[in-house]
Amino acid sequence: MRTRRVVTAILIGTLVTGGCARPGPPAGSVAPTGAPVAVAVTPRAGFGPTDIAWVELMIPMTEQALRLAGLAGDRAADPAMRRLAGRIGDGQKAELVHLRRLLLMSGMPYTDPHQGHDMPGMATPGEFKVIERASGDVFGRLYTRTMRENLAQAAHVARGEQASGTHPEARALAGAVERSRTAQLAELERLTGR
Amino acid sequence: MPRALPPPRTKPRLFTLFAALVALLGTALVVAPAASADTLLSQGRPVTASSAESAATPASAAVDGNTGTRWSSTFSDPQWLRVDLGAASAISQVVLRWEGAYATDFQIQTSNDGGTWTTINTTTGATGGVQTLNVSGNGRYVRLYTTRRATQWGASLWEFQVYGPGGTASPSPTIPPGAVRVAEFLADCPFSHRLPDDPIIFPGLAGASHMHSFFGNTTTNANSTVQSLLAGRSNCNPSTDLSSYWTPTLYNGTTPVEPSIVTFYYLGEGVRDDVRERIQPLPLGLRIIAGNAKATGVNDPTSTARWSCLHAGQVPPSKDFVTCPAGTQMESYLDFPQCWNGRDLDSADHKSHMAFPVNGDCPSTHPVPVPKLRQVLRYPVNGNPAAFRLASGPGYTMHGDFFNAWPEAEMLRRVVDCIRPKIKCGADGRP
Repeated sequence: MRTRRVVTAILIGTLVTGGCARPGPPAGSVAPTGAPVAVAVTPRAGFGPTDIAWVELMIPMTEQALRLAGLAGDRAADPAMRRLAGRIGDGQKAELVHLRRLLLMSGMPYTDPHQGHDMPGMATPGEFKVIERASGDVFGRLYTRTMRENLAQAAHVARGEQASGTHPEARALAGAVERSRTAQLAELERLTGR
Repeated sequence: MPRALPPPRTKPRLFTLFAALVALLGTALVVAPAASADTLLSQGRPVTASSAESAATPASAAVDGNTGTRWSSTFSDPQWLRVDLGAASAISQVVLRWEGAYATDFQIQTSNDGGTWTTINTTTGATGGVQTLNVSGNGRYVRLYTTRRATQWGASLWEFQVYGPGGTASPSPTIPPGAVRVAEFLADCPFSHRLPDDPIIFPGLAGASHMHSFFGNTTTNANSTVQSLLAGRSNCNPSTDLSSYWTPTLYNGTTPVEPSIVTFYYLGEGVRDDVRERIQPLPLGLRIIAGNAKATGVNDPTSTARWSCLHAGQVPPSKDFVTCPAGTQMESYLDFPQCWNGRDLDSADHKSHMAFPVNGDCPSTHPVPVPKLRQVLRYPVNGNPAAFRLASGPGYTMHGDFFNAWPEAEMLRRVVDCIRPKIKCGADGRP
């Protein structure tokens, strides 16, 4: 057993080092036998971990805000609330396009790292189903509460990206998102008399 | 000889076979535990160099145990590469595995403070390849100092290996009478605080995570770094452990439930005895994640969750919540990977710098054995688990995050006194 291990080690050593006795481009790291090694996708230059985390969070968060706004555009009793839902939808649709473009630029695959998790500012799938089935005053209450939490959390997280992110375009978008969500939240509060 | 002779080295037939094979294959380069009964002291240790040709040829590549990666200096003389053995150690042999760009003239030097150097070998007119230098020296730092390169390129090493009789220069601990022969030390760290933050996965982004319960360091938030943790406070016993540990918050309905007993064990199990004896301290700033927050079910092999009942061993453990009898507590066990790649304190996926052992040893991709962290949480709940959920989902999404901020000397002392000699130590790191 030991002998076989040593022989294997020698053979690997030969394969790895044989014929490489010349300086120049760095030798590629040869992964020898052993445990499978997870291959990590690394974001392209300029994108830091905060930038990636922010984009990956904002995509599902914005998608949920758009679904909520879509429901309210049809269902809200107050015409002013329906118009606000339309404005939220238009503004966030453009931001979502920008977020997806940033993700593409980063070279990271699209995965939602938060799927199935109970996230601040987002309704769980079960909670969202309840909102979808609601109507009248019940819908109005659930909608304003959920949208309020979504807008406030998105503005909060955007401040973190502006403070800790490294990619200039992502940080600029975070600034725009913070302003737009803060303004949308203020309008929502005005309409609900808070 | 002014000093006592070392114990006879054991070089049985294996070595003869080994040497014959090397000759047969016509290569002088081999990997791994060289033909010496002494211990390899340098692998995975902190290392610095006078320069690096590029980011692809860092100093760390010379002590990573991988002969497919190398250190290369810039193209001038002199150059040096310095490894920190962590504590003053006796040194008996230095093996240089040169790449084609070797040095003809160099010295091997030792130091205890990294400033004053003692030369223990001077070589001139060398011809590269693998050079095995038998030396006699002592020091915490060992340095290769090259004064003449053989080529127009830099000085480049596949591996720089320092061997010694092992352990530190201080006498190895005697096994105290009555010691329990389990390689273990621990930290008891109660619940500290809750935040929807994760400084490993979502660094710098407060509010970007599901809810976490934090243990140990009381300052942890999305912006935590090893510096901020070291400047913070700990609620652990021992309070010297400034590390941060966190898990998804457990809810019973909508009420958060925090564990009443929280223990982080550091263990020498899971590897062979000879591997345990060369376990290295967890490097300061290392980040490790165990379990999978996105596991899809109890049959998902990426879930390493284990739920059971304290004081009710008859209830079979499960990856999902279990029904614990009245008067008992539901508990969660989670083991962290214990083989480090010797280079990275974290990785893009937060996993690939660490691995689990294979057949009792660390794989060559992750050659540095470190203590196995085992997280044990006891929750003051029992009965029907239907209303239990984690912030990350069902029980099988249980995961743990560890951000190492043990002061290096405290961690080293426990590895040397408890893990390597297989002695059960308490929170103070003593038997």
